[in-house]
Amino acid sequence: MTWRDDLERLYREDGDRLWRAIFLYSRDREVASEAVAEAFAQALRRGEEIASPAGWVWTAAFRLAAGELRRRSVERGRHAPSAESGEEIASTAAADQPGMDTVDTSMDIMRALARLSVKQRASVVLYYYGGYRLAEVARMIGSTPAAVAVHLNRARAKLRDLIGGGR
Amino acid sequence: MSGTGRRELDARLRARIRAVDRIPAPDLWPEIERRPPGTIPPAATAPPRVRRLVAAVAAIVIAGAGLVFAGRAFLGPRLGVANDLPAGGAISYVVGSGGRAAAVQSVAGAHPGLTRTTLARGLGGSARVSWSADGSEVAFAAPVPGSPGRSGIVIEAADRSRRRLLTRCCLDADPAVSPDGSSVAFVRGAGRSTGLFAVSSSGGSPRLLCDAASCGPGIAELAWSPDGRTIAFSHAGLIGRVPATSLVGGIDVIDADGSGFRHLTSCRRQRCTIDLAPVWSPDGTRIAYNHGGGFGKGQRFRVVDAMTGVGQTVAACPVPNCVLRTAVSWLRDGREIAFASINAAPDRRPAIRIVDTAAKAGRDISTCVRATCLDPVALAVSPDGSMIVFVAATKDGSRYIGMALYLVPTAGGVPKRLAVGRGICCVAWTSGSGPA
Repeated sequence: MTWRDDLERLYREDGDRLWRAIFLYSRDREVASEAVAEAFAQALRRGEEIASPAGWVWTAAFRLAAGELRRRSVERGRHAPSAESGEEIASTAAADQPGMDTVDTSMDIMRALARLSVKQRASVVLYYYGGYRLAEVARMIGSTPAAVAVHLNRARAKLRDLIGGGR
Repeated sequence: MSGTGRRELDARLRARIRAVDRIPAPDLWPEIERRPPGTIPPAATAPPRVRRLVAAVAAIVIAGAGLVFAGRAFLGPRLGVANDLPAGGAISYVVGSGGRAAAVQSVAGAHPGLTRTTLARGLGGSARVSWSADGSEVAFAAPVPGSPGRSGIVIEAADRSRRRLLTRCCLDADPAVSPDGSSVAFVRGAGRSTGLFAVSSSGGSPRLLCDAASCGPGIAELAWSPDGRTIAFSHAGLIGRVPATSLVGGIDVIDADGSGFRHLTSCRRQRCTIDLAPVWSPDGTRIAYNHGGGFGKGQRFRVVDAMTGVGQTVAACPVPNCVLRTAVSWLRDGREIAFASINAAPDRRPAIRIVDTAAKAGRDISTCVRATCLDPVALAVSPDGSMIVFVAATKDGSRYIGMALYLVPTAGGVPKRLAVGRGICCVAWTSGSGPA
């Protein structure tokens, strides 16, 4: 079993989830694809110097996405809404698996996450979707556990509609 | 929120977000295998401590650069710094006006450098100071030690060799040293119960020259005539103490011995609110004053004959405003007056305006250099008339606060910075070796 095989297996097992996480974070399909591909390509080149490939790839992908968002923000003067909005991805999901529940839920999530700041969104995605602990989230986004806890608290307040919606 | 409630919320949120698992993700592996890897942003690979160190160093550098930039921008380094007083004499001013720590400072000297001296300290809330004609003594009002609520008249030698508290019983303010330095006129009381007094500068009992019943309320802005025989004053002490509609007051004069009180101007007759800031011409025959300046708009500068009371308007403050209660300065020739003008409109820049009182023609001395404009709020003319020192202010809410002193030639030129300090006001330019 080579490093390439290990990494491909990691991609097959976890790549889609990472892509969705980056997509939730960046709200942009192109950014998500670019960040995930670049993170795995980097991991492929670095080889076994990476001790924990899964965490490394997630961290690298989030960093790459954050860098791209910053670059776009500078270019546009603000975080412009992504080209692929919640409505669009909801339609994609609906085409794949028809059903109003799926469509509405995806739209709800995308809209709800759009209300959060970039740091809050990263914290929520990594904590609730990625399943990482506070300390791990902090390390991945270059912050502290206390700061991440604050981000999550504020995010919960903003996401109360989604949480308590009872849909 | 309880721990159970938090866990429940977390579980619901986690379940909601997992709905996105139904969104199809593209297969990127072929792309991963063939793409040449680029570089990951440094933050992705650098350890947190290194990142924090880099961020701290960057923050310090940026903050330092910001401070330097802000300081240079605010202080106007491109305008240059004065290193001598080409017109001679000495310039005095008050820093920290309005606060208890207000102090009188002076600047004097010639090339290669200026001497800055801090004279009197602790002026209290009043920042009005008066210099003797030769600049050897300065009088001001200061809190009376051990007597809260009282202020007395202090006269202090410019070389700080002696300091005398001339009065200590009451609420005294607005001192004005007579031209020969032998006595100090001042106002006792406030608002409607003011009285005009004089005291010998060597000490003694004050003499009542005129009370509110005879001379009217709100006596303020005392100005000795150059020959020392007459005192002119306004009723500016009323401003801020009584309703604007009841402000009536012109420029009045009274002889130094308390006789010969007379109204020189009457605002009531001219349908204005109040006349302010009387300034004697160098020859003592005329008085320039601010007509209707109590409210900052529509200020006009008039000159009145000190004997006959015949006056004329010689200039108006350019629209939209001069600073409230703007006072003029006479140039040495006694023909021209100068005053500071701020124009808020984008196409009207601040300037010092000089007006010929006979021809009523004016010219402006710009206080701008390229895009940097200084807002002048007060000024003084050098004894030889060749230079003007002005207070440059910054706007803080609705009022202007003096922040620096600048020198500019009367003929016009580039302003040079002389001193900086928050709350600079009350600038004066004395002749001779001055206070320093």
